[in-house]
Amino acid sequence: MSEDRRFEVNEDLDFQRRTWRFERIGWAVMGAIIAAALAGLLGPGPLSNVKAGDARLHVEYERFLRSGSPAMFKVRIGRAAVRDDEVALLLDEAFVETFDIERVVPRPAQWQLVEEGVRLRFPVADLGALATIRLYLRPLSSGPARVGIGLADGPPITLQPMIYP
Amino acid sequence: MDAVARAVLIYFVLLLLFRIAGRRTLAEITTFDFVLLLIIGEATQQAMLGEDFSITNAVIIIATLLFVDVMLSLLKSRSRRMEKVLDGVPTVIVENGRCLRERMAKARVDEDDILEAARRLQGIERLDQIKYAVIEVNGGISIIPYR
Repeated sequence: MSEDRRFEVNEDLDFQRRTWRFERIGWAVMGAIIAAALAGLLGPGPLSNVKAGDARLHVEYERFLRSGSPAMFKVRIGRAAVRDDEVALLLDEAFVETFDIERVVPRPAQWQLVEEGVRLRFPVADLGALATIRLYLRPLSSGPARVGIGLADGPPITLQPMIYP
Repeated sequence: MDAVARAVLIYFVLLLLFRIAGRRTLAEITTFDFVLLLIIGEATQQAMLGEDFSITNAVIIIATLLFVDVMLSLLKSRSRRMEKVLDGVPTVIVENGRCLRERMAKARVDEDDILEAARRLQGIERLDQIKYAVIEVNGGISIIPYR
């Protein structure tokens, strides 16, 4: 600061330079947030969409979800999953606790309470190679989750979505 | 992904609409203009948030809006043409004490507006004391009196 300055102003150029640097770092952070959002790391998007399972039961879901915001999981059922003219889809206790299940399309004929969680029963007349069941969900909590989805027999598929607040 | 696209779209739609509507400073808006702004904000909010009320979504949308704003300001500081297109240019409406009627009509400013600005900024009483009046980029009228 020059001493002959008669102009009364509280200048602190060092501080101002730090502020400018801070601003530029902030812009980069904002750009990174936008890039992450576009890529699907902060919610549904290309990197978030994942698949799990096998030919009998196959789940297409979002790895990154947001609390309170609608989400959709696609469950594909193979012909081998049919037992006694029906498909039974089992959602475990954690699933029911993590998600508000808003709608299941097609609508299951029955919702049954079982030891492991909830069982949805779909009567089958004639199944092609694959049938799709859509689960419309809304995450209730936030944080990493671990939920299971399976058929009446066989081990369930474990999904580990991350739910952002 | 959706949130970023929505925010960018809304940013540019609003930019365009407000550019069409013309200039008015925040200091000079009427109560009704203010109410209008609130309603516009309300209408915009729905389109931007959709059904997603999560904190993450809010952070993404705010970051996107500010980021676009900062990037445009950098662009403006580099290109005079961009600055003109986005912000507009100042307009002289009183020159050597003479009102430029055609410009005033186009800019929707009348003598009363000039006199009001003159009173507020310079304590001027009459139009013939004004040497220059300019509508600035931000919509305010600045006054240069005769000395």
